Amino acid sequence: MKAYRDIATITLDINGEERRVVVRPADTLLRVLREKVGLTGAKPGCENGDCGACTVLLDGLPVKSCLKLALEAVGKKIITIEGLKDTAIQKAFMEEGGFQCGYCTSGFLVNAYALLEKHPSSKSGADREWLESNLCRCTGYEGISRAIDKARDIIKEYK
Amino acid sequence: MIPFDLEYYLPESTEEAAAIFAELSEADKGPLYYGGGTEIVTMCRQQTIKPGALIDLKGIPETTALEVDGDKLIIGANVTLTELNEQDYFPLLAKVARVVADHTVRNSLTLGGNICGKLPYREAILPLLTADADVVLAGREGRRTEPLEDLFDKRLKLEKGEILVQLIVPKEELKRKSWARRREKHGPVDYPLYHMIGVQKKDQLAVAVSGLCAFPFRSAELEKKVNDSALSAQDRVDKAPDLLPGTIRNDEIGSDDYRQALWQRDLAELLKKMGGAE
Amino acid sequence: MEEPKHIGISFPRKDGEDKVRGILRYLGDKQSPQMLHAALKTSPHAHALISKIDTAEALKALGVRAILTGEDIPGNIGIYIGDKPPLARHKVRHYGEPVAAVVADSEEEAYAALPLIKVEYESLPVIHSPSEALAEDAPLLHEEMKTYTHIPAVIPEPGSNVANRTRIRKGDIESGFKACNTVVEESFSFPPGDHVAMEPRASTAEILDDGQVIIHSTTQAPFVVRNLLSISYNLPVGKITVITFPLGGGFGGKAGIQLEALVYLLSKAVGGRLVRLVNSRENDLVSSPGRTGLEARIRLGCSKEGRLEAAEINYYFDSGAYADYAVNISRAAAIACTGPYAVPNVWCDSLCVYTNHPFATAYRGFGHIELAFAMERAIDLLAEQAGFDLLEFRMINAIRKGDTSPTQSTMDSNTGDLKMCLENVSEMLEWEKGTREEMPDGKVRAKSVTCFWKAPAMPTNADGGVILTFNEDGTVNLHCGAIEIGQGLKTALAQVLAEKLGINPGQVHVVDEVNTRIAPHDWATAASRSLFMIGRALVEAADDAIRQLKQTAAIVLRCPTEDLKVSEGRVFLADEPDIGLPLADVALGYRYPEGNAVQGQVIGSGRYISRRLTEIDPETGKGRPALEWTMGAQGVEVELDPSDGSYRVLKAVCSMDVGKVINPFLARSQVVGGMSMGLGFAGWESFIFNKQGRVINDTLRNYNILRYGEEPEYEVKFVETPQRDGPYGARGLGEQGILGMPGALAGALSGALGRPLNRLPLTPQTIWETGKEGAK
Repeated sequence: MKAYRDIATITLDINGEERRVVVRPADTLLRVLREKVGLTGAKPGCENGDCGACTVLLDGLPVKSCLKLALEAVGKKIITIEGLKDTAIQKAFMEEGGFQCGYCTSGFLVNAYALLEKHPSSKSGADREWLESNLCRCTGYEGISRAIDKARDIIKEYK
Repeated sequence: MIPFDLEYYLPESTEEAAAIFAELSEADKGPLYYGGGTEIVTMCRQQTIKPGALIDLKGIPETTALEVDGDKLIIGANVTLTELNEQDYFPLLAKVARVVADHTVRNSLTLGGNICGKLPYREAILPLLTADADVVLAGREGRRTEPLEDLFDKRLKLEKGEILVQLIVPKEELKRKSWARRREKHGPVDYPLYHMIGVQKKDQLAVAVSGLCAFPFRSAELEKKVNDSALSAQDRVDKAPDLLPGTIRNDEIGSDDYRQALWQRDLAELLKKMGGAE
Repeated sequence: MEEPKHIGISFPRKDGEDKVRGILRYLGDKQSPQMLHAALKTSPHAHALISKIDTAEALKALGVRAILTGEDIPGNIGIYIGDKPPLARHKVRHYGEPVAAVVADSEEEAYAALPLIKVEYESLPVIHSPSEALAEDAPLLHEEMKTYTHIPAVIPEPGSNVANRTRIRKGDIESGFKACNTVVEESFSFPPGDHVAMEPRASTAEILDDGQVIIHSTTQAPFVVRNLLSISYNLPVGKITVITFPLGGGFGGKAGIQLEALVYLLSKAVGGRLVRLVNSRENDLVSSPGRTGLEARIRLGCSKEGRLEAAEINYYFDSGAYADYAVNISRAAAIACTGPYAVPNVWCDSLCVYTNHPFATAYRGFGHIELAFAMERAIDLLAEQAGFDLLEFRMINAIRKGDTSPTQSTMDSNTGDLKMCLENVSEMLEWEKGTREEMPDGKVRAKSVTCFWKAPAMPTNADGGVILTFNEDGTVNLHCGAIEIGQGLKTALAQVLAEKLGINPGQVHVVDEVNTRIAPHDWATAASRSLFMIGRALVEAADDAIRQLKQTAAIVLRCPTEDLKVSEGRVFLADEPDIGLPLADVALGYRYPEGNAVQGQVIGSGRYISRRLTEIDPETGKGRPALEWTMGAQGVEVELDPSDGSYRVLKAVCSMDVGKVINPFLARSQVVGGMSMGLGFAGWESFIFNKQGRVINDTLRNYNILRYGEEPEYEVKFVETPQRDGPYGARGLGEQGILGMPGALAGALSGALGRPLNRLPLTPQTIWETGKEGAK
């Protein structure tokens, strides 16, 4: 049985890099990413699991990192917004106005990226089911929705 | 962000888990079993609970099982709601699991966590109540399997330190004809005004409801009335509110009047759709 | 004149790359080991005396460096009326009001200490609404109102709960009503709510040994913060520096002065060390300011021909416990009280009233969303009663050039074409096909139309400035004091500058960070005035830079400056374009081959100050307070299920006269964003209070905002009647998309239900209850 009774050193696999970090057992993954690793792309918007701005991927699945203990991520592959480079969805967000202030953007992009990995071709009920996990206050979602369609087109073209 | 310090344990068996729970309780650490964490981490941030230790049960292999074994479906307590949504064995459970919280949260939220949580809704219990599921529990004294019905009264009655390991559903209950309706104040991510399911069992209609009262329930009295063929469908619907096991919730999500009116309409529709009428 | 190359073009956002990579840094992203962290202890009561605060145990907790309570802090803060102590003193006036602040080595330790602070309260009667606040026997929330400092335009009424009363008296209201064929009188209301910018507010403060105060803050108004800190704490203004990074949304909620004062005091309490305070979402919702609620009573009449003759308007703004900013919201609503209609006889009293709700600050629309909801509902009721089509009635009364506003100032040739906007709405909603349809499944579809207008409500001397500096490659840096809050301002400004200099917007480098010690003075990023005012300053700065570029080039090319032209990254002879120099050769002074250099770098500067604005007369409201009016029309189509009150917004449309569209893509985004916020405002967004006045939805789990998939189909059409004093004819558009939506949603749902819905939010339960009452 693994036991963490006090501050401990753990290794996290973040965006393909092994990172050794010192954590309190109570530290959330969001706080560790931001404060110990310096990856501030995932944002605290509520730290209550409601807004989705802190979304990261754990073994490919979007999770709200404000509700995860960093210790739970040991042995899993963590992908943050900083780990997405020149993806179709990022390009589409730029072109279709998927953001304004940008604060919710990392969370939306990470979630949408996972959505497109799982449902690359057809627009389905999955879009709403997945993306209603995130809140955006600026766009009215029009640009985000268009960006998802556009990203699918880009992915199709690429294939 | 959790402001206070706590310890974290990741046992690999129920025995280990129960033993460390007992040890930590003895040391006054106020341990909590930990599943997906979605509720516990939130409450810790708000400091409404302050456990001194969390015992993460996700390292126990049997709690993450999801498989058919002979004439039973075995569902580990740490199966996430997303996994439940994506399985084909038990379509009604898949459907109900799909509407709790939001998709990203469901990637973490576990069946056991939903059932044993502090919130009044605990919707994932509904299809298990109508399916006459058994629960497998483990504690210091060993393990036991009991009918869910016997153990669930407003909440799952666990002994201190006892672990919800699995839920076992008889195979014949898995693909029954069913109907479900969830209503919210505003949108699907909200807590429900209520969530009702109806399941056609042989010649009886089984009904379970969450959100209407302060706890989820399947009530024998209500079912008796709902299945009373001596009464017209309208009469059954009219009498149903008197047979609820508690008062109808009246809160910021919805008034009792509104809840009752919608619920009775939906009950009428349920009777119609499930052939229970007349 | 040449066709503009960069105006009216959808140039990609300047901050886009950084935002999609997640590398744009907001204030909360910056932490350093030497920082101390603060957390707030807040009130569970809406109104109570503080009988005792015991901090002894908390002070002993690990990592705690200091704790402040209201008793430790003298004085009040506030932008227009100084009525708010940074921490509650003697009594709390709203749920969530901070009563103590802890400073500790880490944020965790600061929060862990909060439960150790013991506060004893003695409950007081709670004021739940403006009407309760105005009742004869209402408790006084601010006994010391008489001592509060305020700007002259605000008229508080000590001895009552009225923080400001603005009067509009135009024409003769009684004879106006006598001329009416039809008159309606009705009440309208909605509770307060919140902005819910996705980035919670944050501030840091540090006091250096030489007395310099360094503030970092998520503010829309760094210069206001600097000025008010200076006044409130008697600090030399030049010793205060306020630095702001791009904001994760503001919507007015980050205007004025907020956490900055407290965090300064906290830093002072720990010997000037760097202290950081970041709001939790709960604090952001109820401890920091939200938006006003409203109660309105309107009497409105029209002639047989459908012409509005008289409007008697009472607006009671619910500013909550403090009115520091809201006093100007109620004033703005008075100035624009009738909406964009020609009404010859107007009587309006617009009051800002204290209640025991969380306090309010500026919110997208600033009084105009509030008045638009009440007025548009009243117009619908009047038009229906008088037997007019709702769109036609608005056409008849749409304000035009030559008409007068409620403050009796004449609408000039810059007045937008409201009729064209209405025609566009009619077309987009297919108005002629009918406005109500019962569907086979029992649902009902209905359409609505509303009009709106808004002028900036700001000091008569509101200003802005621009400084342009150049780089070795001839590219330009654009410095101004306005904040990028997501609206895309700096991209639009880059386009204006590119157009002036004849370069590509990519060759303009905008500066994200605003530092009050470096940036030219700027009133605030609020009131949808940045593009107009900074744009004007930018045009002047560009002309200044062009003059200097030509001066240098004229020396080198040995020609008169007036023969030169700047375009395509060069300065050249207009009639012999081959003879010229690249900007890179002249921007930092020209260096001759043998080494001599002349002229030096180009530094372009420009400024703008509001033109010919006046305060309004305290008795009649007469005056010219509005710099420019942006107006338009909106509408929605809904589908309602009358059996349970559930509904869906199928389509939302908007046509707005913006003078000139600088960037169509960004302009549309702003408008659509405003529309979506307006739908939420009307449909489901507001605080829910229990009987004790506590907010029971102070998390984003139960304070609903629009979610993905709930959005309707949006359609936007711009009309371009040039604002001739605006940059390239442009006027403001950042807020306006929200304004008509609450009235539009209420109008369409009222039409579908067949019963008037005059209170927000329009929850299915409310609609169901209203329908049931109607059936009785």
